Amino acid sequence: MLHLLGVNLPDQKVVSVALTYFYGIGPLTARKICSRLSFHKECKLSELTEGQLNQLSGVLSEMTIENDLKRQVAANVQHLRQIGTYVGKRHAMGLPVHGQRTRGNSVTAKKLNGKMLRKYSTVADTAFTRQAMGMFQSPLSKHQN
Amino acid sequence: MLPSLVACSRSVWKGPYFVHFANLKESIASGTPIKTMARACTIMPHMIGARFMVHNGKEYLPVRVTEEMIGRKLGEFSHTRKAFTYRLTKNK
Repeated sequence: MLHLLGVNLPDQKVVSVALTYFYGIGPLTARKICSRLSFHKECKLSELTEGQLNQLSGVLSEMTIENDLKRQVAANVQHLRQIGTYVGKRHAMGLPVHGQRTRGNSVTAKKLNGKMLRKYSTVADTAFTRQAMGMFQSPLSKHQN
Repeated sequence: MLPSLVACSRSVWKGPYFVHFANLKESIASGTPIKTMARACTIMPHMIGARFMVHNGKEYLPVRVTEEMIGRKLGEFSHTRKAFTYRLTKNK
């Protein structure tokens, strides 16, 4: 296990796969980083030298990943909620944002949407209370004066 | 976050779509709301401080324009569907 920038990366994996373990890096970005630093396609993390690892952490620290990215996303959602848009209200209610159907099939949305907004909640976090909170919040946003 | 890039489905060379409101200055000064059905109107800098009553198909909902709303449309702040509430019907 290699510890890099606050994340434990599995040693025996190929570099471009191991990099996806960062929040904010997927397969495309990982491959781009590897080609930028001229790492061999099948090179494993444990085979990298000290210098190469330093280069890697240099490149990674330039990008917004992990906590910086999470903060950015949370700030974006907060912003939408604050100005009172439809999208913000959907996040507050924990419902799908992009116009999907809610009669059935909104499981992921109910689980994940608006997580950043629930930080300071003192109420138990169930679907019912989330809806109730959303109900209380949306009328308030109308009278934003 | 760049607000102007948000509503970027319209090509940039065309410029944003917005409606000229005759009583805009009056609204900003005195706070009288402007009734409008132009939900697709992009919020421009000269509209800050104005109060609109935006149509949602049935009623007119109040929207107070702030600086952070620039680049979005008026319709985003006037929800069109009633929030789902479950009331247990006492039919036996």
